[in-house]
Amino acid sequence: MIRHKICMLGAFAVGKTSLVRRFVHSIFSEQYQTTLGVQIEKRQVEVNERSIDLMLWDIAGEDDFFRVPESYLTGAAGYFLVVDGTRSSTIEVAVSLSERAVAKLGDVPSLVLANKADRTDAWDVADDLGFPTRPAGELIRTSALSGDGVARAFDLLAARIETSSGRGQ
Amino acid sequence: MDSPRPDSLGPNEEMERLRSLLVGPDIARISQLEQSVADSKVTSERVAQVLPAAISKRTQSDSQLASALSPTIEKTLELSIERNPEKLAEALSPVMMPAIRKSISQQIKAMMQTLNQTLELGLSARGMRWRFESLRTGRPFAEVVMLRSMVFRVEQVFLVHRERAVLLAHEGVRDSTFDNADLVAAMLSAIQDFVKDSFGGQQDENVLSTLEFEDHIVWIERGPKMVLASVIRGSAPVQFRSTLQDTLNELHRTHREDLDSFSGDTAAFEASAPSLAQCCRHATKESSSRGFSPVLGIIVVAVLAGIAFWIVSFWTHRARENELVRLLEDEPGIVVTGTERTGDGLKISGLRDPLASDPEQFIEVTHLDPAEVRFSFAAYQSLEGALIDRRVALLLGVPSTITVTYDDSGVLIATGSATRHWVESAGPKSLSALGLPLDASRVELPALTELENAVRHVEAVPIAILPGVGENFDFDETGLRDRLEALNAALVAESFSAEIFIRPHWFNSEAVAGLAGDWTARLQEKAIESMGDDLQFHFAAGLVQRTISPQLRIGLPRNTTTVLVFEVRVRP
Repeated sequence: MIRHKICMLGAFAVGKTSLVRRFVHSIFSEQYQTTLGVQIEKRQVEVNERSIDLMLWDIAGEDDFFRVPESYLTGAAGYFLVVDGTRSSTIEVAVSLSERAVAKLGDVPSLVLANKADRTDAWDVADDLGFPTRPAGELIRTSALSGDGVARAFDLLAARIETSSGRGQ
Repeated sequence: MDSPRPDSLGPNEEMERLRSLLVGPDIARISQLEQSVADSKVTSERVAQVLPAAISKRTQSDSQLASALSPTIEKTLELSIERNPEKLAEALSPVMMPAIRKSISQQIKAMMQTLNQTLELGLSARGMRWRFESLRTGRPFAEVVMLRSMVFRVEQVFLVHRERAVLLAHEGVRDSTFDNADLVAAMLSAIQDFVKDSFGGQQDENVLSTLEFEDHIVWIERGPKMVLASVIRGSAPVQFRSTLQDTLNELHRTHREDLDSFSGDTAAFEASAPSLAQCCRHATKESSSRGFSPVLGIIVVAVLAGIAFWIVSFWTHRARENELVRLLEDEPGIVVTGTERTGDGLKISGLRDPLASDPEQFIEVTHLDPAEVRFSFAAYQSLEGALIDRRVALLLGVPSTITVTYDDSGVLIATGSATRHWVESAGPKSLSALGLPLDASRVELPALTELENAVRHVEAVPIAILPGVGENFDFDETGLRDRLEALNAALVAESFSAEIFIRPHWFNSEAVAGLAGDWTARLQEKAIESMGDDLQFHFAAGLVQRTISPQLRIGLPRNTTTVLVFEVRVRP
């Protein structure tokens, strides 16, 4: 069995927990519940016909009063940086988290998720988010509400992790 | 270099010149090189430039360099420690100190627990039993104590990659509490991170090592790359931590390479299952004596002993009472008709012959308290052999030469030898006092002497006095004179004297009242008259009242009013 720790990073209320719940339990709740500390969920995915357990560390969103403890990042095989497309301020937080994650974890696979894609009418950010993504310009639009892009994002990150650990194609 | 002049050139010189023209710069470089090779300073500078890369490259390809260097490094370390041990100690202390601290604190904890156990065990019955078991099985006492005293069960063991926070292996009971070992492992790591961030800073020893909830404990042992968490139910001995640490160390050794190259694949760690299962087997059976306090034990024993003592005393007392009644019933002359247990003891009622044994003596024999026994006996006369014997002995004055036995037909039979006097007096006494006839026919009597014969003759013949003849009764006619003469002769022969008492039986008392004294005087007068003065007997004054036996009356004249019977008392 292959197991990977994956961290959900992002500003407060960008939808990290909703993405995890959508991915793991296929549900969405309009009710917002703030995450305290960390919640951990597990979901199995298939990469190259191999089962992989993704241990999803849904870390509390960062804001002015809470800074994500770096120890929560330790040992992560990959991470998502989640931004809220309707709030451009969440990009700054994501950039800051990205820098710290790189400093802590080095060059591990990551993906930028632009969440709340179902609300493009209220979209507040540029298409490329103006975000220094790796590979440059790559981001996935997701909607925890509709489920669009969610599974693809997790599958893609899992595949990249497998590739980087030498088991990819 | 100076240019040579053309006029002074020989063939060799020309050759030299040509050479310098052709390879001059090279020669200069070669000599420079030679110089630099010979110069150790330049060489070392060059080697210093390439050495790190060279070592790194060689180490990657094989381990020859390491084996070549290891003696040197060992020697170096040895020298360094010899010269300045502090320096190495300083360098190692950040690594060693936490480990030493941890080890010492664990040892102290273990020692405290051992001390507690020792105090608790002491010389208790359980302790003795375990010592015996230790002797019997040859196991160390400590092991027996650990096996028997600690009630715990290792329910789950998680082997977690410390950095990556992913579960590497898991053993234990699958139940609803631990449905998802993956999540538990991840959450344990998260909690560790939280503790470290919140309280411990970066110091490695400040980590969570124990979690407690309800009756479960989670013990977390950390190694350099893996964490071993065990979920324990009950109270495990501190020594078990060492077991966990040893297991973890062992797993680090066996999975060193797997850990170095770990990238999420936990397949290699399936091999650790036996070691983890071994940890799970560290459990003890529920000891039945656990939780049974010695004080409670003493109380229970005391109560049981009290009850047992009461029962024994009760039955002993009952047995003594029954024994007393049995003894009384067996005793001749006592009849027990009822027993009654009252508040102040035992009341025994019945019948008792006054000649029977004293019942109080049986109280003493049966060790009962005399104050607790009361007798209520009515008197009666027993016809049991033993009682009759006693009564006969008491009333008949039986001499030692006589044995009186009671015949079932209601007759006392006397055997042996006795005086005539006893035989003659015993019969009437027996009949009047005991109501039983005495058969003395088998008693041997001594032969009668002349004197006794004479006395018997005098006593045997009553003299009947007819009305009107009282004063004129003929001394000779009745034969009394002959008998008195014979008596007198016998008395003379034996030099005895005798008193003769008259025992009249009055048929008509009025007719002869007041004559008694005259009778005595008249008889004495008549005796002297016919036999002379020299008499060895005399008629005693006064009358002796005596009831004449019915046999004696038979054959007397019908009109007899008075019968005289004589009683002779002989004195030496």
